[in-house]
Amino acid sequence: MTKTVGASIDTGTFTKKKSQWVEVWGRFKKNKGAMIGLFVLIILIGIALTEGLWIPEEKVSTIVVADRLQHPSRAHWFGTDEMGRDIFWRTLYATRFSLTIGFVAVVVSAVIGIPIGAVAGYVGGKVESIVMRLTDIFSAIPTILMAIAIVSLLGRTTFNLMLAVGISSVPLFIRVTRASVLTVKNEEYIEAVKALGKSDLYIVFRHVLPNCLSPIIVQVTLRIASAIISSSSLSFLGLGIKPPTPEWGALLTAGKEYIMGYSYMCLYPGLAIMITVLAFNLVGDGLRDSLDPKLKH
Amino acid sequence: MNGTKQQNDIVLSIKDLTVHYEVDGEVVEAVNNLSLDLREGKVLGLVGETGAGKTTTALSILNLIPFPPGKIKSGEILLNGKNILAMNIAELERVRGKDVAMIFQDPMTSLNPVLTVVDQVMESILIHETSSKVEARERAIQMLETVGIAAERADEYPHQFSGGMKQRVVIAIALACNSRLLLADEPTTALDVTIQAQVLDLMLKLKEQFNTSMIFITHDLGVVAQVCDEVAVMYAGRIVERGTLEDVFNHTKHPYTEGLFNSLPSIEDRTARLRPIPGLMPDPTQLPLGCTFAPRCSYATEACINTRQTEIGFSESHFALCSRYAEKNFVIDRKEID
Repeated sequence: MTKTVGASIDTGTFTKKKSQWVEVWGRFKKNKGAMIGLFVLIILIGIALTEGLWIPEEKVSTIVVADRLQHPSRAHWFGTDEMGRDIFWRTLYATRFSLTIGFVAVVVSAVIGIPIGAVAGYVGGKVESIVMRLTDIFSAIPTILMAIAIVSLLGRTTFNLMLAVGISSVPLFIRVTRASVLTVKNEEYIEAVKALGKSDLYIVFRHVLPNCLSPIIVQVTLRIASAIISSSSLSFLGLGIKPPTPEWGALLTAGKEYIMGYSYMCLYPGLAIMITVLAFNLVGDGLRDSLDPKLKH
Repeated sequence: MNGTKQQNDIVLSIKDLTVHYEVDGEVVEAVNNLSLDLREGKVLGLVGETGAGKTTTALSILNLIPFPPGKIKSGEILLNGKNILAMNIAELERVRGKDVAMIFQDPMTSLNPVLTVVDQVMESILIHETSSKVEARERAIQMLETVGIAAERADEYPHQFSGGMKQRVVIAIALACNSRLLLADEPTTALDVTIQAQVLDLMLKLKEQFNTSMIFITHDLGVVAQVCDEVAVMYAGRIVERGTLEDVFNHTKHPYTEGLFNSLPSIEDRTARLRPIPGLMPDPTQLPLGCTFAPRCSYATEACINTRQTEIGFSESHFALCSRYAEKNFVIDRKEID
């Protein structure tokens, strides 16, 4: 993007040689909170991707009854749980599950929600009214309640958990996409491509949707955070990941019986959830500001 | 291309076109009984003030009137002998961009900000001409160079271009498939005068090169004089006067056209006062039965207001919608310039 070409020939005007994304990154960099969030996220994703390589399996799952319910010490930084497993390693190891659940759930809801929202917004008329009223009905059911229903219907597996969390945030993606499609579809360049003889389907996916990306990207980052919370809540309620597998919500559940005497069992997984969600939210807010600089002024 | 033989070289023929917008029970009569013909290689200037129905006419030619609220009530639009209004969507998509291309008013908003300019020029070539991406790209770059944009800049985004360059990209898109008919909807309104001159020169040059016919929508009479072969003056959804450039500019017949010329400043006589047309355009939801211009017309009689106007011919090419010419000695003030 930065190759230099002589001054433009005819008009002699000065032109910026920066792509849109370079500008967005420039604005994002100035936002300290967002940069901290991004830094934390990169570390978390790094842990999630590489944890199999350096976290010893036996530290995560070996039960040492003699070491049960120990307070944080030099040997066990975060203490041990009721079966003598090291909470530090378990919390760290759970990063992969929690992040994966968050990502996959959002991918599920985006893949379902974005096309529906785009078509509803672009086509308008009766199709739009029907889709949007169904969405309204759908979103009148509390997210957690709906996820519980889906998990109990499909069975308690990791994938179903992601599916449940994903489906319950589909209405949000439909709404966000529709709203921005509505503004973009009346732009003159959409009329111009219609005048070139393109089919509506082509116009929606090639011309309209790419111009709606900014609010969708922001929504994705923010939704990953709440998907992590939702899945942790489900695990906490006993509907998520099955116990031996470490997951932040599941670790919280395990700790809740001992919270009076051994509060650190809940503290660290809870902190992990908090930090991750905060990081995603910071990045999401930062993206929102840098993708749409008009909002700030 | 059937049917073109008996109609010889007429590219576009609009017959009795009526377009209404229906909003909340009110009917906006945007275009009323409009007829016009355009021959190959000619430029027709469509002149009129804002709201006269110029853009609506152009959009009807592509059958792109937004429905609802817009509705083509009656009429025929024959493009190369085929009626556009009777086509299905697949046929329309083949015609749009290939047989008729349109240049929109504002170059700042008529390019997609997230696609590179070469991608946008390629699109119409890919749809109508070839399926090979390499070939389409090559032709797109050629087209960009034709309008004076260097090949090195083809992979840049619209925001990296100036307004004049953007309008040239828009022209390149419109001309990419060698359309026989080009609709230019105020292509230079958003540009400053020097860039306007460049763009007009370019359009004329390309018109010669590709033998394209053009409908040039504008409210700038100076531009009309520079570019057009024929002129149609629109007022409140009707063509009030049409003819060759010479007919309309030098032998003005309709009082509204006269008013337009009188409200132009004169270069020779700088002390001369402008004579604007009094009043405003009529509310398009309540057009009078008779002449729509009558309430503002200094020649209007009782009959003008109450009876439907008929077109009166002055020569083979020159027509005006003014029934006072039925009277023998009726003339308007504007001096004929010879």
